[in-house]
Amino acid sequence: MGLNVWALGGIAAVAVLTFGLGVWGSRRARTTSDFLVAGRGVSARMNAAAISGEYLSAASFLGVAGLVLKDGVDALWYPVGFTAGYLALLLFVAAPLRRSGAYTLPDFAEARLGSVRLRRLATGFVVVVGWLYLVPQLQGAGLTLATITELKPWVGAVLVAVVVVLNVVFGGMRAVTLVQAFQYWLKFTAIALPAFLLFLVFVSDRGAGQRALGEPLPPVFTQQTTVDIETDVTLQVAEPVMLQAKGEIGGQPVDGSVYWGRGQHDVSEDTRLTFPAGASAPSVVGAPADNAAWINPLGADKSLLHIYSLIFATFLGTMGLPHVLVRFYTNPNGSAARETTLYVLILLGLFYLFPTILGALSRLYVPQLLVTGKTDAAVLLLPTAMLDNWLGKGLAALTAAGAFAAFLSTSSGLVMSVAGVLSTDVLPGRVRDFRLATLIAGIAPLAAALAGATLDLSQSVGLAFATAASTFCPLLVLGIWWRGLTAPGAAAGIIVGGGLAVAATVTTMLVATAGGWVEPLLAQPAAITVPAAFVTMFVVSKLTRRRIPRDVSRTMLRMHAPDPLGFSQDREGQVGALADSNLPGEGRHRA
Amino acid sequence: MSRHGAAEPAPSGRERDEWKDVTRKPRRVKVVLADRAGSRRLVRNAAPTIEPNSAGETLVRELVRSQLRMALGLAAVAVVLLAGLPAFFQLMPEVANGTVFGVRVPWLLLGFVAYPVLVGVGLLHNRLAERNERDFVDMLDR
Repeated sequence: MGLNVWALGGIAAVAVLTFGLGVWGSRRARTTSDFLVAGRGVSARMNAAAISGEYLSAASFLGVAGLVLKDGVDALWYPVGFTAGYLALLLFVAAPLRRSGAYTLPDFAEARLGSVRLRRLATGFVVVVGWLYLVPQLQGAGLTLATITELKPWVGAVLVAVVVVLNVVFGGMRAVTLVQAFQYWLKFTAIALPAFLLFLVFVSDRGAGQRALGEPLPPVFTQQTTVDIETDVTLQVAEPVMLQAKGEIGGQPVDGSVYWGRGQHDVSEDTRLTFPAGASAPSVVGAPADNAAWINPLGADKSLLHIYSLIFATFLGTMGLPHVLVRFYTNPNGSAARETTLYVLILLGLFYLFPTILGALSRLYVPQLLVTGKTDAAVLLLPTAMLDNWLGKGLAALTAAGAFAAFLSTSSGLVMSVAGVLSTDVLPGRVRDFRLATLIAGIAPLAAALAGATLDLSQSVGLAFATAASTFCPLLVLGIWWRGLTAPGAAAGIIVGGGLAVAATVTTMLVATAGGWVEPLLAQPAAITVPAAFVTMFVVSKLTRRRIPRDVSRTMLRMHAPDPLGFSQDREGQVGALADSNLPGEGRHRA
Repeated sequence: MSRHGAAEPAPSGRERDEWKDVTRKPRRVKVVLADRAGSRRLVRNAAPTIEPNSAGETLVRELVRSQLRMALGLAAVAVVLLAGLPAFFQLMPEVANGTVFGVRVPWLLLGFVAYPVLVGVGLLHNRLAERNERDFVDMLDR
């Protein structure tokens, strides 16, 4: 590890390039017609790259490989779910939502159901989901900088929060389609090239004391490895191991040789463990202890219920993420929205092939991460662990730059979305308020990131998905396909589903383990909360049938009539009260 | 072409006033999305046919229903294919332990095959949805 100048250089290059492209892009889009061209003249492919660029967060770039390293094949449900979410969005939401002309989720709620109070509630949950998604991004930023520079994790989180807030406030990183599309290809290169080259290295240097990944034995250290434990952990040992330790094990101070038999061992923080070459690597409890359990489905402590709940959350949660929906507005019409979403599926599928490869290689080359539990750093450390030369350093710089691009783009998109709804729906909506809103949107999750417990990136992002799936998914799906939805019904569903999901999230973040059958549901509550939200919305809407909006037929017509009929209207284009009431503040800041 | 309802003010019962105060500011630049004529073909005389509570609306309901049926069907296919996997692995351990090209079957299915399947379902949806809509437009145009 140590100070890695190469990696810092890569990160700086990404920041400068992104900022520069943003400034250049927003200078081009000054006049109304430029604004139009930027918004509408974008091809489906470019739009899809932009959507993917904003969507692929630290959880995808770092988290997936980390989970693969730790949990094995069961972790592959995360990227599959992250992608499948766009299929659900394509099947149920994309074209009708584009035709509705709504720009944000609160906007859709009000346009469809005509209730200002529902709009406020939706605004509240946009902020909640946005913050839930931001916290792991900032924690990931802290981890990345801590891994490559030995700074304390909070420094990185603060640094990225400041960079993002400044970027958004001064408009350097406007969500210009060009910038986000660039971010996709940057991240793709930063994951695909290392994965490809390191795979070649792996194929050419078999042997060297490595263990095949299918054997019922734990991974081994290929060379003498020193591991610093920074937070208290319980390690499980599958194969007896001799090691040097200095610090505190099992409550007893130690300094010297230690023999660990099979079983669990508590290690206190600030303990230094040195494993000789060829020693078996212990792993934190909860992860599969040996390679056979790792390579087989359901080998980890994961129950079937947890996996199904996760599929549910990611499949249905994507459509409710605040920064995803806005991008669909730049499609010229409903058919283009469908085409764009299909390209997004292709681009995401392409990207997710590579974290899996890196995660599997990490099991062979950086097993020390299993001891500290900081598996999210796998992508960052693998290149130098496999190649101790300039190429390894170059690839490490590339992955660090890609990781930085990942949380920069996603955080900026989220901060922008949250600040947009805060400034129009909560504050009076002047430009000054947008800046204040940006500050609030950035600082609140930063505080949570510093104070809250650190879960695995993909896991805590999964909780944000669960909250989105239990609030906005039923609102969108029922709102688009069912005439009978009423404002009270929608509000009740959002409160029940969102309330339960947030309660489970807070419990998971504060309390480490509950145990029993409750635990998988607390860690991934969607299996309960999403059906609860749907049922509540349906039942309460049935009970308040008189509140069905009078213009429901017209709204349905606008959303579902084919594009050539010309019913789809952009909400700013309309005359009268609708046009004046629904131009969200974000429109001034985003193209 | 006159779009019904476009010029109608919102129903008076709604509380929109607060909102107007929020968004009506001198600084705002209104982006008028008018120059899209070339980008789409407008079907003549279609709009008047689809007034609310008319025969046309019944047709729209029909369209919505068939689109929803199709979307639900494809979602069911995707869910059965994907969500069936964990159960399948548990019931058929010999398949889960098998290897193709030196890679374990579950890894191959989840790490690679799943994505083309998702794209395929999406492609099928787009084809079917566009066909439904074309049929609908042709029917109105006739």
